[in-house]
Amino acid sequence: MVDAPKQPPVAEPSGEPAPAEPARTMPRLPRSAGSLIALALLFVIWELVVRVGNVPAYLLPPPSTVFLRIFSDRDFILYNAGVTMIAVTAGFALSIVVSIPLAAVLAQYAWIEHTVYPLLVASQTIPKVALAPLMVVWFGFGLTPKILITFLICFFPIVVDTLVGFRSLSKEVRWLAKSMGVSRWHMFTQFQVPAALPNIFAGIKVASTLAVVGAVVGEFVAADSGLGYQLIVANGLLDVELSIAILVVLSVLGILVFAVVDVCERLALPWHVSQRHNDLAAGGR
Amino acid sequence: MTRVVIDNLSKVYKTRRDRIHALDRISLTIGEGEFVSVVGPSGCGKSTLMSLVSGLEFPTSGEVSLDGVPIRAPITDVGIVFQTDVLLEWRTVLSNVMIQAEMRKLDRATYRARAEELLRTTGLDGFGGKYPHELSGGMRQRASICRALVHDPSLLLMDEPFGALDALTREMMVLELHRLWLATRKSILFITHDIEEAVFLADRVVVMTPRPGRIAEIITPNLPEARDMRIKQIPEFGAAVGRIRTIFEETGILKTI
Repeated sequence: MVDAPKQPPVAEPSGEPAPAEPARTMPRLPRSAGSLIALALLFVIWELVVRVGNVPAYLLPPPSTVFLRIFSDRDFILYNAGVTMIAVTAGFALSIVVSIPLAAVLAQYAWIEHTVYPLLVASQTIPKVALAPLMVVWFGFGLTPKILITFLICFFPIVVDTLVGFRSLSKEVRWLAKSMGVSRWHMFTQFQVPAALPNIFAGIKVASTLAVVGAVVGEFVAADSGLGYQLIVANGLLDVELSIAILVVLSVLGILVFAVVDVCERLALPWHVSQRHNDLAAGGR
Repeated sequence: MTRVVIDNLSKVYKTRRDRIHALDRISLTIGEGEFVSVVGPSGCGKSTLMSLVSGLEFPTSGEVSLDGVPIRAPITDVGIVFQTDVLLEWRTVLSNVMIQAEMRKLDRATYRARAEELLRTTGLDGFGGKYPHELSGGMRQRASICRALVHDPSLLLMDEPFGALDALTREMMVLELHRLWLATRKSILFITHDIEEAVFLADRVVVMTPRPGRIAEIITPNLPEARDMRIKQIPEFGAAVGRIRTIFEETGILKTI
């Protein structure tokens, strides 16, 4: 998206700017309103199906009792959510900190890319879930294996998208920079990095939705607290109500991480975000 | 004084399948303060010629020299305008122009004033704070011309800069460029596929034919220095345009009906 779609050459000799969008006739709802209504509708249907169909609560409890359970067990849930979020945040941050410089190095030297990139791709064919038990063997119980699994799951999409971003610099921009006699460092900081930022954020967004998954997988096998661990326990006790309550909380956590990234992107790339205001793909890739 | 000497220049691009002879034994000079147009159909190696003169690509054989020094690396005392505007989307218009000064470590305050002056003269007054995507195609290209001029280079290379513009904007930009050249007397290599544009602007017009890219003829139209659109009615203008058309017809680029 860096070679931005040019506006069609509007009638312009007088130096008029491109005309503004025609005013909307409908009052504008926040963009998220639609999905919130749909979600609420889903809960209503779920509630109705369970109540009308007399589904036993040990198979599928109605959402109302799930929400009540979240409320009544809020201390327990908050504590475990906190534990999970530490792993999510640390693993996610680690993946960002490692992936972007790695992609930057790959992008600078073609031979490194040719050597390392195939290995990276090959490494992704190993199911990370299957690695989790090994992590326990190597790093024991606790935070470290959780962070590492989160990291392993998040890091690939960031590397790939960042690399695409660094590669997206057109020949003309490169030439323009060279005709100004820029140093390699300036070529990187002033041209490659800004051009890559939209792709970097795209990769981080994908990773942000995976971060919670990574932490939960880690907690399945290598933890004694956290939402993932409590999910396993609740399943073992056939406490479907708590299981679903935890799933709801996990999903909220995932949305939260995504939202934080989205806000950062808006702040960092006003020129990019404003260009795709009606782009559906913008919200969730 | 001669500034750019292009001596027996050939460029062959090798692809996996075959060799593309983009330029074949081109010899040409650009004098101090001279405006040289290169006109030819697409695929005649015009853009290649520009990238070789700017030192961004290197010839297969032959040589380009600037002020007597052979070009072996990208030259920097130059302003380049590409076919596309190549504006950086993440920088505002003013900051796109100012990147020249920043990268060349020139005095910010001085060049900021110059950049604003250039934006004013090209009708972009008040648009300095806008991002490129908020501008129309013509305004974007004007901003990129400002960027090519802000550091006051003595040589200007323009590769079909008005190719993507509508006819009216284009005519206005041609007049602006002519005024600018009269005022500053930069050496300009101007590449175009528009015959009238080439003749209108230039001291000399280099006519190129494709496959391989060769110089068919170099025409000196002998038009008065200061020009406006009325010049298109004088016989010398018509003669020069007619001659170029004849060359293109003889080589089968233009068909006579």
